[in-house]
Amino acid sequence: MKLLTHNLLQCIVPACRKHHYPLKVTASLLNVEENPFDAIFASRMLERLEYNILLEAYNSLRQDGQPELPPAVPEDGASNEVFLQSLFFAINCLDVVEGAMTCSSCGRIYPIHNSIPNMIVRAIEGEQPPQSIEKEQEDEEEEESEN
Amino acid sequence: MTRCPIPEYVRPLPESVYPPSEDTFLFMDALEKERNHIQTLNPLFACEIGCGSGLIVSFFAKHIAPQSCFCFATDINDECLLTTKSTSKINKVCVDTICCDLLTPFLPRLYRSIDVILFNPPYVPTDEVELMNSQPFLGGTEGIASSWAGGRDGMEVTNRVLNDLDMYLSENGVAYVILLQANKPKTITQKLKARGFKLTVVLKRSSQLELLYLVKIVRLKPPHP
Ligand SMILES: [Zn+2]
Repeated sequence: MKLLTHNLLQCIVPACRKHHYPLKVTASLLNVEENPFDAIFASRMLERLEYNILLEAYNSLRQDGQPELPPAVPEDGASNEVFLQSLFFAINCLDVVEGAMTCSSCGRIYPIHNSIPNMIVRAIEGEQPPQSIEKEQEDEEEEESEN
Repeated sequence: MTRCPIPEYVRPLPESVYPPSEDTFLFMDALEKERNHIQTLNPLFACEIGCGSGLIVSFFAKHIAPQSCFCFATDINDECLLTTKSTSKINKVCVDTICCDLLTPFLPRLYRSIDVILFNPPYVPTDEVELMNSQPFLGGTEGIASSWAGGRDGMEVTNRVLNDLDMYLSENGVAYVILLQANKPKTITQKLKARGFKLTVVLKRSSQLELLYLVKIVRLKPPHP
C-alpha cells in the first residue's frame, strides 16, 4: 500500500465516517519501488493530499537516507522540483508490505498483508452495512419495455 | 490500427478468481475504442471495482491511461487482489490494491474525484440466498460466487454502485460498466437519466449465453454543489 492510498482512506466504522480521522500507519516490512519521477503527477496530487496526514505517516516510516519532507508545503511547492521529488517518493515509491492502520478515533485495526490493506465489512461483526441494498419494486412495471 | 496486446497473467489462477472471459475481452476492446476520450479527460484517479484477475485494470494502466494517472483496484476477495498485484507487476504497471466493499473507505476523501471507474460487476440474476452467501457485509463469504452472483435482475451489486455514482464521479468523470440484457439496460438508462446521468452503449456482443453490453455513464450536467 502506498502512502497516497493511505491518504485517501477512511475508517469504515459508521461513527468515524462523518469526520476524516486519520489512520495511523505502522509497518514491519517496507519496500521501495523505483518508479520514475513524474513531476506533473506529484504537483497534481499535491492539491488533493492532506499534507499533515502524509507528513505524519511518512515521518513514522521514513528510514535513513530517504528524502525528507518539510513540515509544511513550500510556497512554490507545485513547481519546486526538489520538494516534488521528495513528495513523489513519499506518496508513490514507498510501499507498506506488512503492517497495519489504526483508526485514531475508534481504535479499529486494519491489517496490511502482502501490500494489501484489509478494510472489509463483515455482517458477522454486527455492523450496519455501509449502504443498504436497494429494492426497486418499480422495475416490475417496466419489464416489458426491455424486449 | 494495431491492437493493444492482452496483458499477461500468472496461470493457473486461484479457483476463487474469475478467469478472463468474454466480458473481460469486451471490456478491453471497449477501452481501446474509448482511449482518445479517456486521454482527453486527463484523469488523475482511476479505479477498478471488483478487479478479479486484474487484467482490465492492468490493460487500462498500460495502454489507456495517460502517464500521470493513479490507478487502484478494490475487491472483497483477497485472492483477487494478490492476483491483481502479480498481474500488474508482470505487465510493469503500478496498481495499488485494497480489500474492501466497493469504494466504501475512499469516501469522503474521493468525493466526486474519481475520473474513471471500471466495473465488471457480478451481473448474473440469482436468488437472494446466493447473493447473501457471496457478500461479506451480508454475512456471506467472498469467493468465486462473489464474481457473478448479482441477486434480483443481477443488479443488486451494480445498483449499489450506480446509486452512489454522484458521490464518486468527478465532474467530467466516466464509469464503464458491463451489463447483460437480463439486467434491463433500458430501465437502467431511464433511472440514471432521472438522476442526471447519461448511459450510452460503447460495444455490445453476443456471448454463448447472453447479449453483453459495455456501457459508459457520464453526467448530463455539472453536479449540484
Ligand atoms: Zn474508526
